[in-house]
Amino acid sequence: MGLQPVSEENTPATSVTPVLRVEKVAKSYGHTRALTACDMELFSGEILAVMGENGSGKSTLVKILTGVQNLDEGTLSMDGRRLRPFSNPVDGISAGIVAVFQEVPIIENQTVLDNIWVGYDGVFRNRLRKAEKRHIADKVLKVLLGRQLDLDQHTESLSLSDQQACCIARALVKKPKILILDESTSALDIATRDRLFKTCSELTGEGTSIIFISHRMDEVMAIADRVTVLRSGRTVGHFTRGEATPEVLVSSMTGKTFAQAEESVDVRTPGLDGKVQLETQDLKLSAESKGINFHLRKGEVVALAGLEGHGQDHFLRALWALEPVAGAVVAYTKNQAQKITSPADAVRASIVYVPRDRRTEGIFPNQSIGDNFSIATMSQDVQFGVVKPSRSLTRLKAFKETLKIKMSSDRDPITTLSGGNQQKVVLARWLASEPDVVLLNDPTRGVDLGAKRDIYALMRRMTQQGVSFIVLSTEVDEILEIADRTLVFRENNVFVELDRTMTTREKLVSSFFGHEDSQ
Amino acid sequence: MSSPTNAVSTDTPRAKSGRIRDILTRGKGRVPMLQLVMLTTLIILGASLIPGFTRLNSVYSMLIIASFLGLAALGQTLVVLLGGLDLSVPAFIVLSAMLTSELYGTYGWPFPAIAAFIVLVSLVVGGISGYISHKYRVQPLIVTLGVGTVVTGATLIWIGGKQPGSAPAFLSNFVSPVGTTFGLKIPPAVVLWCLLAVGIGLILRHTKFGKSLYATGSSIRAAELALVPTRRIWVSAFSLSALSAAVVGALLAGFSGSADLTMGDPYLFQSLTAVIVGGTAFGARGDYWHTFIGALLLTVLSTILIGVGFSSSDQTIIYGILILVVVAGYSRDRALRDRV
Repeated sequence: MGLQPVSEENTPATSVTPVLRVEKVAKSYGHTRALTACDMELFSGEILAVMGENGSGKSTLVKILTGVQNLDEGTLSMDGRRLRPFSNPVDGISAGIVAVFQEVPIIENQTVLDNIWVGYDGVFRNRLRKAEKRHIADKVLKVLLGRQLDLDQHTESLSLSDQQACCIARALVKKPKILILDESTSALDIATRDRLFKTCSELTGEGTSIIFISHRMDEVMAIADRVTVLRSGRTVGHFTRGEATPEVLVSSMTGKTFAQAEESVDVRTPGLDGKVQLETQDLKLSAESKGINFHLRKGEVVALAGLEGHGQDHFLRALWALEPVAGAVVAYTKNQAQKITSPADAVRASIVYVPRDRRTEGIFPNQSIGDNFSIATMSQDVQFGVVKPSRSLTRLKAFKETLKIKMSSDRDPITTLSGGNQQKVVLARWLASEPDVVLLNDPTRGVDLGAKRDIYALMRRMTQQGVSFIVLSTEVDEILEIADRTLVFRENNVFVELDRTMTTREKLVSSFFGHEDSQ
Repeated sequence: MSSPTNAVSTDTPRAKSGRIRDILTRGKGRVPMLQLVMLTTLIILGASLIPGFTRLNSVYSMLIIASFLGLAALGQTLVVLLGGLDLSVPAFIVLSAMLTSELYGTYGWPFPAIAAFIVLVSLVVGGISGYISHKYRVQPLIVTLGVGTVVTGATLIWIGGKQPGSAPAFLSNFVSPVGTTFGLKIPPAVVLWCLLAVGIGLILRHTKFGKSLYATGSSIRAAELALVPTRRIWVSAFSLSALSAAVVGALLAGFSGSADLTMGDPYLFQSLTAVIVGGTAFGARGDYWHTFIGALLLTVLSTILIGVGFSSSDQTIIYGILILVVVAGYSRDRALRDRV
């Protein structure tokens, strides 16, 4: 915000050949099609914003443009000449394409100077004299930060914003033809971001083209000359500065065809007796956040939504005391108030948590399906110090039916199951403890449609028995289908709370991007 | 991977062959087939190459040597299941051998008191390794190297270069090939080893501790989120590792009548070899029964090698090759199992 519009001469003439043309680019990871048909043109000296929901294929596009991933189909051409597909990041850089990412990959224990010039020299050869490097680094950082930075201090002592500035400087000193800023403003403080935008308009004046990827509508409005929108791996629209209003962009990102998702609304029970099971008291996700006072009622399904990294994950994990936060989490499940200060407390209060990343946090590879299932409820099976597998098998069989887990023997290794079935076993692990409150962290990520249905069906049955769910979901369709209420997170605050009757796809997505009233 | 429809249409014939394959693959995880075949081959080879190989006395001798190795590798197995390596095994062997001979021979402590003291010291100090490794997420390799060095140093200071006293005489019977267990003509050390093998094997498979240990070794993050007390598991495994090394130390003191500072050295490499050759690997595959076979395999192999006249350096090379063969066989096996 607070930025003057980009000057007139930066608007590209339509007749010239684009610096970069992306045609019908497709990329799959295994069975997942990340990009199906991506088209894009980037002209000399312009700032092009690329927008889309989570999973629309933006990151894959950037990976292809920078040579991190190979494309499966389609062509890339620069200045009208067709490019050989990049096979590694060095190809991208030598073609003049340099990217700065959301994550801040600084190298600790190295100085600011070394961080800025990392990867520039050969192993034995210095391509620039040190004094020159210092001079350039100084100049770039001064422009970005508006102040001098000690080039000899170690980067880990810098603030996150300054670290990100170093990463941007690392890209700028390479004098790229095309600069890709992939969510790289999220770690910057406002002042540095504004200076970055100013630098961007200066760069475009010198003929550099910039691809700007951001989830922040205000930023896109502030600096983009044009906007290309991706949805489910396809390019669905190009908009010029004048056409691109937040409303237009949101409807393009979500797609009109999905607007009739309302039909699939099913019968829901909005809480049996409305008794509060869990509440947060003035919970703060960061020092600057507002306190969150949230109540979860019996039999309710509350979804946590928002763009990746806006605090919803933090909030969910804080409910199970996995993250340190200010404020308190109190459970009323056992008919008395109980503060949750550790996962063990939570489990005693009959609150369970199913983690997000199945591979690293969920399954025990090499172990049997039975052992994977029974680990959290093993105490029930112990008799004279010996674990009786027959008892846990009885429980597993119940879930095998309700969740339709496809498996032959509980003694097979869990890795013989498909991803969806593995996820069902991980879910069943905790559901078997007969919890009152279930915290699910993106439970259907990477799970096929059939398995999703099975999981939703079980959730529905459990809510009728009075079990409450808090579900972090990255899928809008999922939220529309299962949630009684949705909390949308933005910048570590609850941005808006949407009731089921008020939740529409458009409203949800525009609130992700910080707009409270679309439509 | 076959499509679901495919699986349905060929259900009946598939089910049958599937069941047989099931038993085979499941057996593969539990029974170290490759190692058993190798062991049998080696025994036949030994019997045909070396005269007197199958005499009861030499069988008992081999079993006693194997029991030292097997016991030293007991704790090592638990640590490897957790994804670590215990380098302090030799230090605890020497410490315990020294305590046994010096406290008995020079200070005249009664043996039960000595045993209690050794158990206490090894459990506590071993536990410290586990605690540090877990709490500060340091490679156990480094922590046990440090702790082992401290233990060795402390032993050295205490003994101060003099000749330690001699171990109690009944310990010599305990590890003698002609020793008897309650009148039976089986060396007690062998009986002890077999009992412990069965015990630990059952504990690992059928108790909460064992299952928690496998879960922790398989994925510590997942285990923590399943509320498995991972730190307690780590401390226990390293405590038991130190204790099992200490048991070997006491037995070795009985075997050689006294103690010296280098007697533990061979057991570092050999205990690891027994674990790996047995088929236990990082990521919680395998169990103590695998190591049991591994220890037998190594002992028979080295007996043959010595019998045929190989030097100890030749033996080391052959051990190394053996590790490579088994590891190669194991990774093939894993690929196969994943495919089935």
